[in-house]
Amino acid sequence: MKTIKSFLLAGALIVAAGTAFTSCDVNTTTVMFAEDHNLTSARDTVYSVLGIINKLQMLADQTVLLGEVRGDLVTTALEFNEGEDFTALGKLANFEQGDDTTYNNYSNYYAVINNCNYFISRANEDLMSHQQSIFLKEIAVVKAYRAWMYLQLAKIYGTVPFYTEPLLSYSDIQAVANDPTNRKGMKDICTWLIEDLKPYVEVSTPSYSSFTYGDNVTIDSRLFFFPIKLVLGDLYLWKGTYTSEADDYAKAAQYYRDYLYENEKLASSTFAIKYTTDQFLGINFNSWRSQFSQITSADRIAVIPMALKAAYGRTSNVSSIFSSKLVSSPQLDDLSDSTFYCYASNTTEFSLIRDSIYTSTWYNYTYTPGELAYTRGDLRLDGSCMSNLSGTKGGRFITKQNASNPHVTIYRTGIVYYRLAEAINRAGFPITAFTMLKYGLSTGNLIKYDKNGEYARLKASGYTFFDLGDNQNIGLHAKGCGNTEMDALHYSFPTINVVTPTISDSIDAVENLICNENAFESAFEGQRFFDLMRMSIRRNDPSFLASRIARRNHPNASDSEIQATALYQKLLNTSNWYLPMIDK
Amino acid sequence: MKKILYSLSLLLLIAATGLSAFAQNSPAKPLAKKIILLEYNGVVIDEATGKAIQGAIIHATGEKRYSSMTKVDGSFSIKVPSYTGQITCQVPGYNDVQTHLTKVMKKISIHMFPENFKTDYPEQTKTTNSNSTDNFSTISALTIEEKIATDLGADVRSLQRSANPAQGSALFIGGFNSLNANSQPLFVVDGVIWDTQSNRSLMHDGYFNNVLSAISVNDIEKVTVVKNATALYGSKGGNGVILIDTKRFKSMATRIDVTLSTGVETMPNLPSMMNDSQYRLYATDLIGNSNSSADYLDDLTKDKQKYATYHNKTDWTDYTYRNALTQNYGVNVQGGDEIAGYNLSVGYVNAQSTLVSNDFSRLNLRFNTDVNIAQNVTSMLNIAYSNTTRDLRDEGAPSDYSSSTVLSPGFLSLIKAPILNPYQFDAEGALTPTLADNDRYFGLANPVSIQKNGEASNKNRLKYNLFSLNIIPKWQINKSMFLSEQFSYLLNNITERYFLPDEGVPTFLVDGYDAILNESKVMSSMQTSLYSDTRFGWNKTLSANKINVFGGFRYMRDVYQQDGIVVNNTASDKMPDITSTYDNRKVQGVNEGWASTALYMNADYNYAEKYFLQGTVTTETSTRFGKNATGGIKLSNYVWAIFPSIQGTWVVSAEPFFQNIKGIDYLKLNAGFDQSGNDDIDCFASRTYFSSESFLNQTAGLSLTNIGNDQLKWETTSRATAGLEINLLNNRIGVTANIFQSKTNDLLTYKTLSGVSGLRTYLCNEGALKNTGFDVSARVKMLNSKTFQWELGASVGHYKNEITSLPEVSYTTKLYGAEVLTKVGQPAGVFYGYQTQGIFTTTEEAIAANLKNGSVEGKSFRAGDVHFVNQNTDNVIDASDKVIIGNPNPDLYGNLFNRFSYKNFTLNVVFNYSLGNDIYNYQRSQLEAGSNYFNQTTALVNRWSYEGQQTSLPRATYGDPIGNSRFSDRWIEDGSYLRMKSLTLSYQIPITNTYLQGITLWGTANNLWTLTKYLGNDPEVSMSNRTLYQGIDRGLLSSGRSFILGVNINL
Repeated sequence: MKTIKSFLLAGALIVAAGTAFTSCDVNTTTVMFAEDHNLTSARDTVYSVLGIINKLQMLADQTVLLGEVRGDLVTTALEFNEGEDFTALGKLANFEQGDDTTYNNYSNYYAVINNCNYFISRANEDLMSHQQSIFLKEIAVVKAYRAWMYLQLAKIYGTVPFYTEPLLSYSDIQAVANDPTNRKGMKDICTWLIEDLKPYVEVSTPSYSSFTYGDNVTIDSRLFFFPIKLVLGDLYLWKGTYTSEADDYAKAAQYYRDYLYENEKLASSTFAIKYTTDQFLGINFNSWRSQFSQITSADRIAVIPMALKAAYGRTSNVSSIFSSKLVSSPQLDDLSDSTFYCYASNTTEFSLIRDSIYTSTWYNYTYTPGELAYTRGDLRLDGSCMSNLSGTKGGRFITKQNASNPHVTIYRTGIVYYRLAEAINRAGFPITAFTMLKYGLSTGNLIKYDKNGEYARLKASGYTFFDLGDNQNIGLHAKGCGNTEMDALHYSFPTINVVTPTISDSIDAVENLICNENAFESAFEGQRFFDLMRMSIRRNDPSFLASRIARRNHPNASDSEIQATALYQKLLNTSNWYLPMIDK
Repeated sequence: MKKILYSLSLLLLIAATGLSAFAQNSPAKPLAKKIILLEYNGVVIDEATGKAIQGAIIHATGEKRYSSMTKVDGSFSIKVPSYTGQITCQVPGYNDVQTHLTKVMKKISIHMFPENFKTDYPEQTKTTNSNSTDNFSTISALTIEEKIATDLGADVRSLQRSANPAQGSALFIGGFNSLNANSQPLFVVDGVIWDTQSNRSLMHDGYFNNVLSAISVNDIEKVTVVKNATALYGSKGGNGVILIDTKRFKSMATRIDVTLSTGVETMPNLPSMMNDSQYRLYATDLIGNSNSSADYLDDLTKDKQKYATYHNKTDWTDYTYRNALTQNYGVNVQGGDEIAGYNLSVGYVNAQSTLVSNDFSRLNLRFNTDVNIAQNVTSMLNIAYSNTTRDLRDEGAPSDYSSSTVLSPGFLSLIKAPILNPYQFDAEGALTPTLADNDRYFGLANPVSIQKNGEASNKNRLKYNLFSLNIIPKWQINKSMFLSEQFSYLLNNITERYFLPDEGVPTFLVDGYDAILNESKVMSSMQTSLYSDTRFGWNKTLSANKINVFGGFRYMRDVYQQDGIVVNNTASDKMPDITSTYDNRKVQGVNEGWASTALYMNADYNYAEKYFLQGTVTTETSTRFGKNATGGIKLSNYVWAIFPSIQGTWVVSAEPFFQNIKGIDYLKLNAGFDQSGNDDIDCFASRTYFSSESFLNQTAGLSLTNIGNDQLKWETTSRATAGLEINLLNNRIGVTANIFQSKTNDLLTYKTLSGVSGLRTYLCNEGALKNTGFDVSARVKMLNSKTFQWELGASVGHYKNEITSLPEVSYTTKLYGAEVLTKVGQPAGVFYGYQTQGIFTTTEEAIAANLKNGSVEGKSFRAGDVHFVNQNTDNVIDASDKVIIGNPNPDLYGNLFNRFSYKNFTLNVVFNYSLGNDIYNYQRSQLEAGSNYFNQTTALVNRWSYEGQQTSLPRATYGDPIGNSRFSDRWIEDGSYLRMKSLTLSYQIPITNTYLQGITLWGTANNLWTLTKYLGNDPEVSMSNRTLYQGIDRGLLSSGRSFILGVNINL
């Protein structure tokens, strides 16, 4: 019996000790487990937000290339006829990417979304320190990132899985991936996100001071954040595209204007390219080019920060791809050729006029009667790529994406102004939009060039999106075409070739102007395909997009020739505008 | 099946416990019936002379209580219990012999063979499929793997990693039991499980830090390869187990063994490269389709310096390879008294590598003691320390040339243009002592510069320290019970410095941007392992029943930390130390901790040394398992995996019916089934976690990095085995054979994760593979006379591996230009690429075949191009034409040995062989690609160069636009070989006096002769321990012939 006892005792000891030792948890400092990552201090928020920006860096190049290569303003450099990269770009340009995932990695967008969702779900907005909410600013910018991401997804992929809670387990992921009911298209996405973002519209962005992105070069961290008003503007602009509600466009315009007005962002002559003589000899490119080469440019609003060289972090290949593998399209040259630069030799007359409808607002304007000189071409094209020496159209190497500024620009004032014009036009105010293009958006100009009582309608609309005060804005067209405001010969409100033109006809016509005009402003920045897409969709006219893209290398072809191309036919089917979501 | 086994094993354990209780019920009275004793008579004779042996001890096998001794005439008479089936005879100087009993009346005749022959019978009957080797006295090996390869070649498939000293071998037991997790056996050193860091990476390309190199072979008593029944090791035993026991105190007489040896290794076999004039022609041929200017081909230049620079006849390998010297010293002191015994050993090795700048030195100390603390309380205390220093450089052909220039001096010396010289010429064309810079035409570094400018203790040096402390107290509670604890602390510490000089090395770009002039790296890693094994044991003998039970728990906790930093462009090659001023500082680190706990129980039962049954159950939990893993038992927060084993053995020859059988001395059958696991799961893969990524070089961002699979679990290998052991003709012939079939379920595999997560892969347990195989070994005592003994032996191993399930049907892995296919129905590691059928020797042939490259619009293959097989009749050679073109798994492998003993001389020859395995000769694919200015092998002299030329080598074209050198069966070769691995002659000087017990002089020659068709340096290749990397030859250093002379002095 004694033996049995000791036997059992030993057994019990072993089991007891074994149980004691099983608490074999391991601590680590290398990784942070989801359950420990609670976001309870200000430090957590900084590193988490930077983590989200790390993920943003992954999709920066892809975002630009998907928006540009598929558009009508660039084409692949034929010199680069070998190598995988060319193949990937070439396939993309011709909508034949198939299952090539070089630039089609949808997971990168969701990487940002999932991290944003995590942040939003864990960060406590009510946590206060020194009477300030610790997380409010970060929650706002993270929500803006998330909104922008879904907007990209909807633009690139159409209807996409939409979720707002973090996916932290395989089963969560499978549930979202396999559930067809959580798919949302652009309209629903915009509707949801607008409500999500609205409460944060007045929250200011955080500042993490400056970051070094290369040897002795720094960037202000405030540029990392996407302004909520601009994201809201985009959401309404896209929503309106699907709802055709003038009110959505008006709201888009309002948010764009509010941002521009409050931040004193101007479409001023500072950013215009001008001939220095009426003989069209010298050109001062500097004002234009410095916007892209200098990170401190006042025109820049938000970027995805990238490192200048690999030693400093993730780098972008955008500038090297644009400068070596892509060239301007013949179509872009053709568009430029169809414009006229207007040189006014003197501008002497200057006066002040009081607003006659509402008092208290004063404005100024300029005009010059006198001899005008004209030449063809919008200077922004030459400002954005190498000049064309060969005499043939297209084929210019692109310099706009400048290697000294490695960041990928997401919002730039120049482009926001075009969206504002687009939104105002679609809100039902084509004359206002045209005034923006030709004279510059200011109350004085609106009054001066008012027609059909549009200004009164504007005033009565309850919106103030037309009111940028008495500013120094010039016409958007003037940024590359000189004294547009003087140009009555080549740049005037489009004539509508129908018997009884409606306002809708005018709107379409002004939008055509905006579309062509915007090509010079936003070329090579990854906007074009989506701009064409938006306009096509709202007109319910796939050929709007298809004809332009099919024409990119054949500017002189007849319409019937373009319509016969495989590319045109393919693009008539809107489902071909969207990429497949590939898991591999 | 699994359930039945669990129940069976549990039953067995309960039965064992019950039996003990039953046995203890009436301790006063012997429970057994009175034992009937039977008397047997016999005689013991020396097999060689036929003379009787006096004083031989005879006892019932496994029961020394029933024993007897032979008289002057060699005769004996022994009374043994009636259930006894066998007796054992022991004579000093002779191998033990077991023999089955004959009929009572008949006389048993026992033939004794001297110790010069291999032993026929182990001390205890083996119930598992294991094999061991001992006696390492006359051996030149620096690590134990060499001994495993020569003595246990069919039990373990062993592949030398690199012939740099003490790099050891990749070892595989029973095929491949894992695809992505560790596939190396578990090493248990003096009862402690070691983490051998088999998949950790270091900074020097091609180098592997072999933890086993910290153990001097002179300190090892015995190595045992355990091929089944590894359930005791729970979730760590799935790949088989290798037990290493170091020397301990044996007898109180003080004993000092001194071993001294020195040797030389000749230069390894190297490919035959083109000489200067052949190269000049080749380069001219290439220029034909490239735009390079041909300054270096200008034979008529007046510039003396230029002429001298490009008109050399350099064999670069003269500068990078050499004959290497090795010295090995060891002292082993053993002694003690009743209170304590000790074994102290000190050793020092200095081994040059045949590859210049890769030398190795090791100092090792080991102190093993056995102390009697109190009555019934003993303790062992082992302390060991080893310090290794190595000079290192990158080794082997790089996997690609995009991220760096070629930096391995060995490979550079093959590809470097022979028309150049390592030293510069002055304006008059005279050679100067200044090292030449990288050449501007061919863009390759000067290997001599990498050696010389990289030479310093703070440049390319690796220091490896291993310290181990092992305390094993044991309390013998009473005659049949004990309680013991084994506590071990192991510290593994590596400091590695890497320096790539600027001088002589081309500037290269990293990420297409950063120009790298020179590079300095430092890495240090530290792993501390705590191990505790508490064990209770009980044994009982009850007449013919013997039972031995032990159980306990094992706890292991490891912390592995690694920190590394890389900087570029230090101020000069003379200043490699890293400071904050240098460019491109990149830091990396690993900080992992894990722990596991196992409870185990093992019971051995035997009846009359005839029927053996062994059962083991281990249950283990680990921090690496997901908290919701299935297939185990969940207790509190932990999932416990269960691993059962049951083994049965039947000594047939001990049966009464065997008493009439002549010619068969011994026959044993065994069969078993067991399960064990593999817990080499990425440390944190079961958890969802965030990790930091550097953000603009200044700070870091924290983002979601892994979606945890909380069901992640161990891989389970279930193994069924059967075997027999038979000794024939008075033990002249001995054969052991085993067959096995194993199935590994829950393979750790990667699955594609839906992109909605933002991540791409997910580690899961969705896959299975199986291995079927056998191993047979036989030994024959050919001749046995008084002065001369001759023994021959052979062993053969075989396995067939097959992947039976995967989460995605198949995938390929790109490795060194190869594509390795992982596909259900195929073995692991098969090569997947293009088949070829010679080359197009004429334009006509090429036109007739009408093949295009890549697509219908692709370039046409023309005369001089390789004729790739168009598998699908579309006349386009593209990915759809890829097929399986090679299998790295051998059909058969093993050893042959032959031993002559004449008086005090012994001549021992061991061969090893491998048959039917394919090797992807990556090195040759680089040396015969004919696509760049790398020097090529002389085979390329016969490249296609004119219409109609009958040759098997395609034309040389710069850049190889048509892809003649793509991964195809051109580079797959038969890796079969037969090699005389070692030949050892030893002579024991016949002296004995008070101070000197003996002197043995010995000489060993290794790798004297190899029979193979393989075109690479050496058919025994291993570039990684990982399953999918097998059979790829990247030209790591191969062994030359080595000759070692040694003396062992016993004082």
